[in-house]
Amino acid sequence: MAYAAIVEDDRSPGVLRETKGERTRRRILEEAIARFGDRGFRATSVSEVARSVGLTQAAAYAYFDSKTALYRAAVDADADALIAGARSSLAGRPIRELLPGLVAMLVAGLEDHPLARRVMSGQDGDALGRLIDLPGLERVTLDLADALRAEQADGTVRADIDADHMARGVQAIIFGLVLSSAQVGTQPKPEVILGVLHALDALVRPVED
Amino acid sequence: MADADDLRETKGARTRRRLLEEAIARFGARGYRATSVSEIARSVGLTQAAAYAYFDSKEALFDAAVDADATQVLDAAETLASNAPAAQVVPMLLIGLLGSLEDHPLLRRVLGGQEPEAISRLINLPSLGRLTGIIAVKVRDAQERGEIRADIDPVMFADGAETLLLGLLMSVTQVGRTSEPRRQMGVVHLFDRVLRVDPPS
Repeated sequence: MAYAAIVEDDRSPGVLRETKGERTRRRILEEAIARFGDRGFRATSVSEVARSVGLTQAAAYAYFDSKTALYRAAVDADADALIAGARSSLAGRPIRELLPGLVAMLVAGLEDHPLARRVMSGQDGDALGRLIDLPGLERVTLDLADALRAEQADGTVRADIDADHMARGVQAIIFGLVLSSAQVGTQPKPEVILGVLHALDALVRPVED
Repeated sequence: MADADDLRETKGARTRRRLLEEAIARFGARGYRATSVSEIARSVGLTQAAAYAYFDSKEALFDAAVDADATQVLDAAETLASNAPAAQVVPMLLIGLLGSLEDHPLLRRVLGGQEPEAISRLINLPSLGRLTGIIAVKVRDAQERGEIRADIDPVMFADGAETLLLGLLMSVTQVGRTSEPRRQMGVVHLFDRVLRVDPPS
């Protein structure tokens, strides 16, 4: 469902125009996300993913060259859907809401994206490096840089920082926060959440006398 | 450095310390599962049974080793934080902590997500609390001297900085590529600016 939204986003007018081959590919991916997310790379077979969408294993290999290729595509699709969801619900928000909003939506959104959550919690170690290079994350970073520049012009974001450097730094900080909250497991204490919000806010807010 | 201490250390305390040092090295190199209490005991000339007189279980030894390795890093970070200019305390800590992971394989392993059970121990370590306290005090003192911005709450800022630092250390050890220069520069840039009063010209 969330993945369909991305397909629509990238190839408007979207799902209706999807060819049969594209639809099969999408359904394989959706199944792969659910099953890899549930039981991990090792315990999931291509043939069970294929069977669940009514294909033979050989037919599935026409879409994805190998189990690894299918797994990677599934991780990318699930994480991109998570990021796209956060990005679209926060579009147009001021920076002071955007930064905490991104952290909150990405952390909460992991619940609905089992494969992204699995990777972020370090259970499929090798895949973690893929997430940091996702095109979806790059788009968020470019959005952030644009929003920072616009608010610098308005005077609501401090002018003495480079918007591009800052967007990269914020991206790394948010990634680290989502990763640590997925792995530390325990619910953060209120003063920790408050502290993070305060520090994120101080990063961008102009100095007041 | 530890010579004077060694003389005063009781035999029991010395054995305990040597067990911990071996445990840090071996758990750090191969992890909890692949390391046995008997190999650690043997390497300091003890039987496994004798080692259990110091640590009740393999788990207790592992926990104590993680705490000791992390505490050593955090104690050094306290010194670094105490000597750093207030406005640069967070970026200097980030760089210092990252550098010290090289020499602390067990802490690196835990932050790297390879010992998931141990990670929640780190956030409750007393020395982490002390480090966060130092950040808060430095920020407050420098605010009073007018050196850094007055419009932030020192305690809240320190709590937030602690969480951001932990998240960054975890992602750098796990992803590797978060340490690309452009991202690292971005983070240092942010933390370098955050406390300043005056826009640098």
